Amino acid sequence: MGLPEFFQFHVPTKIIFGEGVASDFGVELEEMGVEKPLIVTDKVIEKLGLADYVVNGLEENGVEVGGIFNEVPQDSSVTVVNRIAELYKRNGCDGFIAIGGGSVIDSAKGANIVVGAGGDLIKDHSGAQTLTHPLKPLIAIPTTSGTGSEVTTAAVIYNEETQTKMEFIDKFLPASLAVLDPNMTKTLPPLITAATGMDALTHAIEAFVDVDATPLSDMYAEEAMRIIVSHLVNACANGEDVEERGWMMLGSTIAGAAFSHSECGVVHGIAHSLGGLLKIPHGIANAIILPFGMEYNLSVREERFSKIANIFGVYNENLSPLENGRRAIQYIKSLKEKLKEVAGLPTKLREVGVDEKDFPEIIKKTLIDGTSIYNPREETEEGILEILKNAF
Amino acid sequence: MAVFNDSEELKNVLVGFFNKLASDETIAPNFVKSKLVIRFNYREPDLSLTLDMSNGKDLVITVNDKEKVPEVDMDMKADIAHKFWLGKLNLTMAITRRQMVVRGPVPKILVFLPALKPTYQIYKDYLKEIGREDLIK
Repeated sequence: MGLPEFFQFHVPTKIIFGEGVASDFGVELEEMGVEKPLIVTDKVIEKLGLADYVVNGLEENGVEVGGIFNEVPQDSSVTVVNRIAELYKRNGCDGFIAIGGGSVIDSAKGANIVVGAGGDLIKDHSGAQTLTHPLKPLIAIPTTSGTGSEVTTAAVIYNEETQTKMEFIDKFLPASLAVLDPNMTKTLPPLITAATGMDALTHAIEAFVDVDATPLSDMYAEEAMRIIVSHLVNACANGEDVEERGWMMLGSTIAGAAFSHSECGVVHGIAHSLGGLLKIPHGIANAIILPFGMEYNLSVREERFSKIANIFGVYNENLSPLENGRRAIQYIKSLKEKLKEVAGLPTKLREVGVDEKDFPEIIKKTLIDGTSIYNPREETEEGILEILKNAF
Repeated sequence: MAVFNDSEELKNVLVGFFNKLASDETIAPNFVKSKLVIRFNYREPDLSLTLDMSNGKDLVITVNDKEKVPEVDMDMKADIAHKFWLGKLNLTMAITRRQMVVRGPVPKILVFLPALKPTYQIYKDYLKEIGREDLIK
């Protein structure tokens, strides 16, 4: 790849990492001037005791919790965001602490827009770069290792009125502080560990081969790939192993920083369609589509896929870039089989209830997905159909 | 110094250009199939142009239209718009750098990108046609 014509790289989130750090970040809150934060989470996280783990730590550090909103659903929505913002204002809070996966963190980001910028969430702020000043402090504590939402400039929120997922992309959206504590993912079941881990791996791979890849996003993408393929299977098989969990958290966050800059491609485009139309969980959809999306792009990114083979440890110097690229794809297929074995990860579309008659709608939706312009090979109806057939 | 001296000059150039696109048998169908109503809000100088493609057949351009409700609003300096139509500005980078602000579903804008490529040359040809080669630099 040649020298980029232009790019910018901006990761404003302070990241702290360590076992136990989610119950010990009072010093960072003090530094940020946060004295009365609102906790945003969901009922599952609360039931698992993860919210208490954070809240107890805050109270031990003398921080007054301004309230707990525990009703974030699987897909964040405008109504939920507005309710969070209302609670924040009513209780006189001065910052957000989001404890959860992508939906929880995105809900907090949305509420931060409402509180920090005012106006109507959809009418005034859906889109790109609509914010003119920094928002309130937002602390993100991920409980999955997949979305990377703690460092990305984006949030996706469902608009019930139009029944569409709206995107918010803004330089002021990333969390002010990301608290990465491996203890927060210890209770994650193997299947969710596998699916979210494959989501993170897809972020890294697509960020590495997309049209907007730059030397800086490459650094993050390469390291994320290296970490994730080294630790994902073990994290699924030995959930209590804090070291494996810790590596996966780092891999996910680093992949988030990569794709926040160079975006995703056809694999995510199809996964978005599968999620929107058939409610297939995002990580599972990515895992199923990934090797077939790579096959689709291989002819236009041979050198890149060859480098991926090297990262995966399957590079053979006697082979051509194309052949090495194929080895990288084969590696992903084998990884999926291992994850099927240890975590029950579905590997084909037919296993998650997709029917061939769904293909036309999936194709239609994928072609108008925002990721389509970043894919290295032009997306066509025939191309997407080929990927779907191969993944079926 | 700004490319366009006043709103009237900006209007004459851009409305004429959009009308040219609307009547182009190759280009127009790629735009109107989006069925989108999009409004460009220019500043320095100020002007708002609404492109209504909601019937899926025609591209109707209105100036400073406050009645139509656009699905997507795009705010930018007139200089940025000019640079964009000359093909000298990457849309995604312009959005990232806040040279353009998009309100509404961003993917609906991004999917226009492949259809936009041929329009850059059309803009240059159009400027020549109206005797404004001075704007092609």
